[in-house]
Amino acid sequence: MIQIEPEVIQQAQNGNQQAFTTLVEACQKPVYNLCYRMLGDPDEAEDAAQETFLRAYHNLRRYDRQRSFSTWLLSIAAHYCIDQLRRRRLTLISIDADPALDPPDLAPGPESAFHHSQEQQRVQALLDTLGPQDRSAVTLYYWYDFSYDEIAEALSLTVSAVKSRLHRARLSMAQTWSEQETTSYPTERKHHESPAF
Amino acid sequence: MNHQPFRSWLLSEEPLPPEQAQALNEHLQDCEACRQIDTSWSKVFGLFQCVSPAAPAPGFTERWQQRLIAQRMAAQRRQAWIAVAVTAGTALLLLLILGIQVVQILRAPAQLLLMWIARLTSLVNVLVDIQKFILMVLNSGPIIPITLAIFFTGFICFISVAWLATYRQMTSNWRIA
Repeated sequence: MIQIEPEVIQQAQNGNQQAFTTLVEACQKPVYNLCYRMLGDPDEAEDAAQETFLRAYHNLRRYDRQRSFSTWLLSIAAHYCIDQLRRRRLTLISIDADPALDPPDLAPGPESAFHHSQEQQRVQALLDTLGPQDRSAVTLYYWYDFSYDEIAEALSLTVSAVKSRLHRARLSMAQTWSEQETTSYPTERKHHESPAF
Repeated sequence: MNHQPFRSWLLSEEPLPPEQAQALNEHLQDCEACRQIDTSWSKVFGLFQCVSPAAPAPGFTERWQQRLIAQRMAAQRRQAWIAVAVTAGTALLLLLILGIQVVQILRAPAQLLLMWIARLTSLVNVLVDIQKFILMVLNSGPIIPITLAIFFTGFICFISVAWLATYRQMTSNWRIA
């Protein structure tokens, strides 16, 4: 979760440019990660994250300090990405272009990087099967440890709608995974079979 | 077989009561489809746990600042264009009105001259009426008694002198320094 000093937010609300730059520094990773999980493309994620901060900058006076700043900021990002996905309808994922990622594990190397890249692609492929709202709910729940209430607040939904969407998304992803396993398994078998057959 | 309640329990991340957990386990032993969902979801969840968050390329904040500057400049340009368009539109409108006037003068100069003379005459009439009204009010007798007027004028003079003295005192060099 993002930790931000309330004084910094107050200074930014009073028009302090340096304070807002501090907020951008502190929140860029979570915002970018949400945009990347939502859109599946590094360039589009960068664009969406930048736009999120611009919108936050222009609407900072409207931010209610009683609410969590991270929820407010990620809500802007999620709504922007949902709009982008609705406009796009069809998501095209660039398989070659991966974003700059945090070190995945303790043993970096070509094999590890390849494995990590494959995992990223599998996650993205699963998320891409979901609708925009379900995708944002899943991302906020599993990557940001948001509660049902926080997701409901961020996505302007009811708590029961969030629970329902998450349940539907889990079932959909499990079924997709199951289908992928059954379709990839025979080809893997063939790969290891003797050339005599 | 109705899989719905079992799938709801299976995919729920909240702890189940013991009787529901037992019913789910019994169902999973018999139902291949639900078992597959259970296994697949466990794998998906495991994948979510091990995948690290994506981070932007270095220099994100600088790029954002450049974008903000570019956006401001674009807004300023847009405002400048709007101002130019409004000015040009107003100038065109004035030119159009002037053109119509010129055409009217060229077509019938005598009528236009008569119309303007009539307007000036009516304006002079209005001014004369106002003058008559003011004279009537002044001739009807003093509105303020003479002693009160003298007292009031004296008071205004005194206040003005006091204000000037205070101002001079306040703005003197030793006080500002």
